[in-house]
Amino acid sequence: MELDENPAFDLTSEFDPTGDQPNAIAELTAGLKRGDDYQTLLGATGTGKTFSISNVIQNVNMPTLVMSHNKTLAAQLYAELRNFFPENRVEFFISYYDYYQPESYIVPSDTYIEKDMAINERIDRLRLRATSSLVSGRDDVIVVASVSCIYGLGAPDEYASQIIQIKPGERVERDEFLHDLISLYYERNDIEFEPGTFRVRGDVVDIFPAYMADERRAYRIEFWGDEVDSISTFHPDSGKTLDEEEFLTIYPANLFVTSEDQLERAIESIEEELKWRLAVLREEGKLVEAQRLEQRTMFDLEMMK
Amino acid sequence: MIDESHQTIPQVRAMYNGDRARKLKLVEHGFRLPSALDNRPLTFEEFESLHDQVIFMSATPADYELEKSGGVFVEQVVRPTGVPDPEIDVRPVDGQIDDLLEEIQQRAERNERILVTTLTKRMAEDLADYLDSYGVACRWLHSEIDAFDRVDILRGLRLGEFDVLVGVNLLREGLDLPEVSLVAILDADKEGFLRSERSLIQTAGRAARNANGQIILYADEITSSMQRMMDETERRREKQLAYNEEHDVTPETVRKSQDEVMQGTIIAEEKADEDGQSTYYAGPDEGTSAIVADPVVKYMTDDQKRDLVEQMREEMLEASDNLDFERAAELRDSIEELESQLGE
Repeated sequence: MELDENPAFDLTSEFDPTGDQPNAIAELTAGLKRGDDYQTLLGATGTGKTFSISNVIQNVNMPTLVMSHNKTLAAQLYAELRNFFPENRVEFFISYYDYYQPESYIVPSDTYIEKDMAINERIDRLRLRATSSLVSGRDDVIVVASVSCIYGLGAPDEYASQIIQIKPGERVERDEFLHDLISLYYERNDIEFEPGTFRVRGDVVDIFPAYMADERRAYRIEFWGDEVDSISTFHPDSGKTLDEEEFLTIYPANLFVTSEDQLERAIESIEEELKWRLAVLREEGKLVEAQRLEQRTMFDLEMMK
Repeated sequence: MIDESHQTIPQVRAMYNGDRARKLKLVEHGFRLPSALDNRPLTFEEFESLHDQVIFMSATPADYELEKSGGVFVEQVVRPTGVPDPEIDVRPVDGQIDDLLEEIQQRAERNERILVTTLTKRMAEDLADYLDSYGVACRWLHSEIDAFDRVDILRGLRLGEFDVLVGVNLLREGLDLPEVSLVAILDADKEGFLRSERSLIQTAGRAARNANGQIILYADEITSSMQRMMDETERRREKQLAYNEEHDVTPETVRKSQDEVMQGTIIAEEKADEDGQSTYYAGPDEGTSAIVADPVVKYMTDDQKRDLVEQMREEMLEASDNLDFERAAELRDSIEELESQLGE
């Protein structure tokens, strides 16, 4: 996706680089421009490493992943970088795995620990926003992440292909648009306007994406016949109009995007794998295991259908 | 950008095996289909092949970073504030607590804060109790405190709700605490994981934002880790002081306003919003791994060893929660070893 105008990083600070910083910034910038794959900044505490790398990011203007090994530091980096780049997209991507007890099986004591999905909604929203910023095509994106960002998240193309883009004047049938929203996992709820839902009143459709919840912004699309008449952002609580929009991209309500097609293929391949695996287990005389697997998998398949 | 790369890189490296070990068990015993193994973190090789350009950041980079960047570092040791690395003072272990109490009282009067690191959680707890009994406003920090509460405690320290924070090794990388003018390291000569050169430099760094910063190492002898740490600090100080002289800079502590402290620690408020429903834990900090090999163990009484076993057991569970099965296994072995020493 190409944007007409790709915003550049704009570092905001009342300070100029000083001490060792100008030197470090110049060297690291030169290294990146020269194409060095690896560089190391040996920065003593309090020498303003975050400020230096912020300058480097501004100089090279590349989307940047900042990885941290602990969540306290990640949170600190996120706060600092957000202060330095108020006009750009600074995002926070930390893990579910930090928040649920992973499913596991302890053999000697025959203990099975269920997956405890206490997914923090706020973490979820921040992750969704980070992913949305990345597929938006903008270059001025910094994602601060914990180490578990090396888990898979689904194909970026798939994610990007499942977005809705509209602008005023475009010919779109309202009902078709509603159908598209549902296929992006938005739920219609005309009574309670919550993150992840949309509501419909005649020709007016309001959408409240979860990734906008922090900013308390929602979208209002007004149709005129089979044409988009206007698009605006408004405050979901007060209903006050905030901005008129020339162009709107709506991202899926859920990070783990799967189309119906894919779902069907997935179910088929699971059934096939199950058949094969059950045969193996039974041949090995693992009858308890086979029964357990069959029961659990059938249950999951039921849920998927 | 890989922050605190000496910690982050080993963690990335351990992810794949930890995840795989856990899932293999689930597959073997019929809880999951074999394809569950496909949802996995990157192997380290894949991780390396996926990035384009990398900048490692650390005050104490490891060999991996050195090798990858062709042995060249971009160094940044001069602080914009002109504050040099803190001076280091070595003092005898005998009478260390009373000496520390005196140092604390002087600084508390000047509205400065103090960090104290001990070798075990139990010692941290006891010391905090002791200081408390002398009217010192004191808290202690341990590994089960979750990330959000931890930021909240650090905020309390910065805002002056209390003066002294005691902990084992949670006072390390990157925590930005300009109010801290003294870091006291107890048992600094018990060479081992918690008192390695890297660990000492990182811990000492906590006093490096304050113009009155000082490090006190309580020790009866100077270990090679201490020596290397003192040499490195001296080298940096020379460079920093020379810069100050040349540019006519007077070191100045950056005093952040209450608002700025609140802003910088805003994440602490998010826990309150969530009503504590999540099962947060403190995150993958370094712990007591390979602790039995640590020479300090031989100085311990049986009671202290029992405490250590208890502490390691908690950390083992935490490590396995965190998919870090390698460390969990290491801790398990250390526990067995210690228990056999105890004859239990």
